[in-house]
Amino acid sequence: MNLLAFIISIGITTVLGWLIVGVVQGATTVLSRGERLAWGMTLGPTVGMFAVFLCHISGITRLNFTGFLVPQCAVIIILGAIAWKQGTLRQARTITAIARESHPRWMTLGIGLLCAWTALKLVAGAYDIISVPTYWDDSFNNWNMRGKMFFVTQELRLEIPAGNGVTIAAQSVSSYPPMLPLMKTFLATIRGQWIDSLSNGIHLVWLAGLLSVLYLTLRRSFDPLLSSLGVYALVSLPLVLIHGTNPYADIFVAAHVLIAASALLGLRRTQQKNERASWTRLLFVSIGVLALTKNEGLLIHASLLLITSVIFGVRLTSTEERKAVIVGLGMFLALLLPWLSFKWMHGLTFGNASSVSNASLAFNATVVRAIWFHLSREPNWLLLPLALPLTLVVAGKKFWRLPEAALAIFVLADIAVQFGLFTFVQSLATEAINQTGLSRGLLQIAPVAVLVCAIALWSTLAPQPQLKAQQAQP
Amino acid sequence: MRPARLLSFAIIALAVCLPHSSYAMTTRALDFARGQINVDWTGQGDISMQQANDGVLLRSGNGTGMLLTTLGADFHPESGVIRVASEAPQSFSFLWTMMNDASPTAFTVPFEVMTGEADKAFSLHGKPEWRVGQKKIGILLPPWTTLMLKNIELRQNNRIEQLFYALSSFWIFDELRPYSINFVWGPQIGWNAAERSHLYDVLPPVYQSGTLLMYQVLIALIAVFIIYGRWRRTPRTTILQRIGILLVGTWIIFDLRMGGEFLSWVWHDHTTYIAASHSDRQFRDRDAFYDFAAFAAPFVADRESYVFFAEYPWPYLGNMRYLTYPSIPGIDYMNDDTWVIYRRPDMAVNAAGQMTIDGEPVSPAGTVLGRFDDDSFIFRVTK
Repeated sequence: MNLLAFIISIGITTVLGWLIVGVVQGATTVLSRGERLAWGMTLGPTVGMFAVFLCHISGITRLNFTGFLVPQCAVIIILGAIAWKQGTLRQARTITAIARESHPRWMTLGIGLLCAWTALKLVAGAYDIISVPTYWDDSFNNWNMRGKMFFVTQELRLEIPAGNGVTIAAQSVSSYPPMLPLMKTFLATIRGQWIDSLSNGIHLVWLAGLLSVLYLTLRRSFDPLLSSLGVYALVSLPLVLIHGTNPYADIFVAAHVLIAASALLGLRRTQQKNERASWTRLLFVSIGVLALTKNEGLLIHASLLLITSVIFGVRLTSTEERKAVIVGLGMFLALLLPWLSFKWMHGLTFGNASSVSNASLAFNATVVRAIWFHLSREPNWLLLPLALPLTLVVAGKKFWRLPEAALAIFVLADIAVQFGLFTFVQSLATEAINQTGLSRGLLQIAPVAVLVCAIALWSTLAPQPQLKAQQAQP
Repeated sequence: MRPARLLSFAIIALAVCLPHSSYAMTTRALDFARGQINVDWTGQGDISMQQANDGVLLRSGNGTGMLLTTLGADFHPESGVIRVASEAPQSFSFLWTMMNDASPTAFTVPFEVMTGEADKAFSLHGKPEWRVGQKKIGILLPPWTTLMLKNIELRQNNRIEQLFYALSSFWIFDELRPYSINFVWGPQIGWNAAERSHLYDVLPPVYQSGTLLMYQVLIALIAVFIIYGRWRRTPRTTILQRIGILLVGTWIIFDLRMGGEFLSWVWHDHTTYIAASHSDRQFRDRDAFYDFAAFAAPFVADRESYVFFAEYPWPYLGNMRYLTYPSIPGIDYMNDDTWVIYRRPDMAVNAAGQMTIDGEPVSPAGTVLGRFDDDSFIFRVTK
């Protein structure tokens, strides 16, 4: 029964996501079939729950069976109709990734063994998350607690009862977007019961989405073997593996950041107007969906991606691109404004379960030492703190003229903003000193950092093949 | 000369030139059994000593007491094991002072012992106060402490042993703990058996970070590759490929270490909880809490709120709230009739049927609806 409920819920949201990606992509196909499915599987739950959220806060529905199915089915029908009219129900054009190349036997065997090792860790983690009770604070105080509360009350309540007539204020954990908890509520609603293993198992979908998107993004530049090595590198990061196989929200955010970064990369790499238009729309929509994940998804990652895109990606030189920017911006605002309005109406904050608007600023040397300790004495990111700057230096000036440089700029800017916030905002300093919140933001951009590192490294050590696109026979 | 040959020559030269003491392991045992005492001991302060068959019974009064002997400068151990026996939980310390210091200061390594016999391992490696030189060493007893001292073994490791312990401690895993979702300590380097067996006992770990050591070695090797490569006019691509291979190789070793730690956590969950029998299973540091919560939930399902007492508020209060929602735990015992008690040996129901805390009644009379274990039960006030 749990498996059936899981398949039904994920099936609905994946279809919704697949349709959205197809409609936004439009007539000019820029994503491979696999990418469209991976993006759909990742973005679908967020957008689906956003539709449920909108209908609920409008007073049209409750958070019950009908309240979950009707909005999503309506979106599916509308998108399906648009896709049918567009001719994007079937993906007519196939993007051919880099063909298999011949590698030395030892390399093939070695990477194969690493992939097997990776698979072992992932299977073990998946077994663990669906077999054990909810253990972590943020799970039973925030993500799972809110999901269960929505399921029991069938309402989007913001205050959580804490006992003795006291409630946890809405400005605390309820300031985070509700899309993730709503997805858990959806699963429980289809199942008819709150089951921990079911509500925690959804996190494996986002992990699978993250790894698929990374692999397929790398496949645009590299053959299957080297692309697999990139996935291995990401899963080998201890905190990525731990978070991916535990019910926390940061891999959920990371998957959305990676999709937006992948769209920016696609936009940077093409000069064809129609393709640029497709990528532009995909970029704006993915950033808009990213803003619905967590507060830092909006304040830090989405903002920096927007700035990076405007400076390095988006152009207004052709009519197609101008139209795409207008449409993309429109969709971005259609996603963002309702959520911002809701936050404003209910006085919800933008910080890490606390307000940052009245935070005082002062340099905190202890935070600098804590960050140094985190990067140099703890293997949370294995050797990535050394590998990333080293590869960027070694790649040299040549790399910074490549399209991929925009992603490197985004990653470095994001890290700088995060470290700056911890170092100068007094109320956030404790999160760094106690090593609690410090790793979350880094985790959310770790996949993009690995992507940048992989591209910079392999482009330096081996010549980079050109991406080929073939027109399939109609 | 090719780099591989140069490296081999360097290793052999180092091995040959190392002093003989690098290969000599020294252990000195200080025994306290009847007829086995092999050094002179002096009691200082408020201490009495009584010879027993297998050790010396030490007893302190209302002041501290010390038992001391002189350790020559020729022997500089870096770790040791003290075997003691106690009839009650006690604390004591290993103590030393440098005899050549103008005003000798007493330095200590504290221990806690429970009832019974125990081997307390300790490391002196890296302690700046533990210097080469003649010293007095011994045992320090706090006031009103009684302890049977059986044996002290002091060990001086050679370089090969130190390297062995360092390499093997790299593969000692930490447990999954509440902080593991935020950061991991990673490998810690212990240079002797005592350090290796206590790597994660004290948090944050006091030993050398394996991550930092790895970074230092890596950066040094990268620098060597670059300098040597430039000297030999090696093509840039070749130097970069060597550095790339070094990075990839180190990354893989590091991943095997951290991936192994992750798998050990899953294996631990599997053996102690997932595959264990219902009556025996324990979940991480929460023991049988989740089974207790499942046991208690039906009793409060029809209540809006209930009184909840646990051995600690965190993490049990928040966790219980989630598990029994919409029934909310609290301490409103004036209005809530159901009490859920988890691991509170100080709480019991008296003969009059009242809930008590340390014997003091805190509720009207009621009945125990269900008992999970000796200290965990469900109580309801009879209306």
